[in-house]
Amino acid sequence: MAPHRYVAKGPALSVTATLRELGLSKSDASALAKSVEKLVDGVLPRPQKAKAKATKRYSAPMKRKTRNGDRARPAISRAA
Amino acid sequence: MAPRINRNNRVFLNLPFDDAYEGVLVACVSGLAALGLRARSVLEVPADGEHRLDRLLKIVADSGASLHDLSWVALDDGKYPRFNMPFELGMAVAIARRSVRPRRFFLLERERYRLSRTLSDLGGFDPLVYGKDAERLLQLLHAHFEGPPPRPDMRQVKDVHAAVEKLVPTIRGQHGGTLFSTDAFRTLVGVAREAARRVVGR
Repeated sequence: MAPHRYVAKGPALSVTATLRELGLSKSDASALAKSVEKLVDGVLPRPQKAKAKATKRYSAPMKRKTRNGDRARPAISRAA
Repeated sequence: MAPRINRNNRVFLNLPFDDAYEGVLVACVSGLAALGLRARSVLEVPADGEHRLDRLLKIVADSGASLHDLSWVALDDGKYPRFNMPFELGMAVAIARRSVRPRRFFLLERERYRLSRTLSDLGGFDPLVYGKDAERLLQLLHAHFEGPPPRPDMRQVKDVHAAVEKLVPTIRGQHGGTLFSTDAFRTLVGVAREAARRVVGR
């Protein structure tokens, strides 16, 4: 019989959660995760954090400046 | 037939606890971590711990798949054979065959056609023959196991393995000169998971 294939699509766990699964308490797992992170720093670079996408903030359209102050010219006189 | 997809990412490792097999342990743990799967082992249970059998049974039952390397047979102190590994394989096969949830077991073998002589009960079952070569073992893991996305390519799997391998002397040094202890195994799994996070980005 040919060897089969195992496909698992469960959620990926964090380092701390992975260590907790191996029987460590929350604080012990967290401490070991930190020391593991430092160890791996010696052989692999840390992943670059993705830059936060700049979101355009809404700003009200600027008032159109007219020669006669804030008053816009009446449409009728312009047509004339 | 398309393989059945399940949500259990845990893979039970049944490997010889012998220094000659350290490379096999490192390749399995790092290869599985690169693929997004989590290695479990009886190493998690302290040797003098209470209810050892129950805890072992729970680890095997909690895993969706298991990997067994029965190519190592030796006598303890030159006197007694050790039956732990065949026993754990028997447990995994029984659980896989009787469980409602889908489970798989895989056999690793150093030599082709050796299994038919050492374990004829599994006649007709093809083992994954890796010839004690870590790179071949990583290729087999990549071909037969798939975890959550993104799926790494072979180069990424090798990168994770290479990073973990570089840290093995440090891990060994921190834990009394061996990888086959509870604390060393936990550190090894943690290192492999962190390396996979950096290389694969999962």
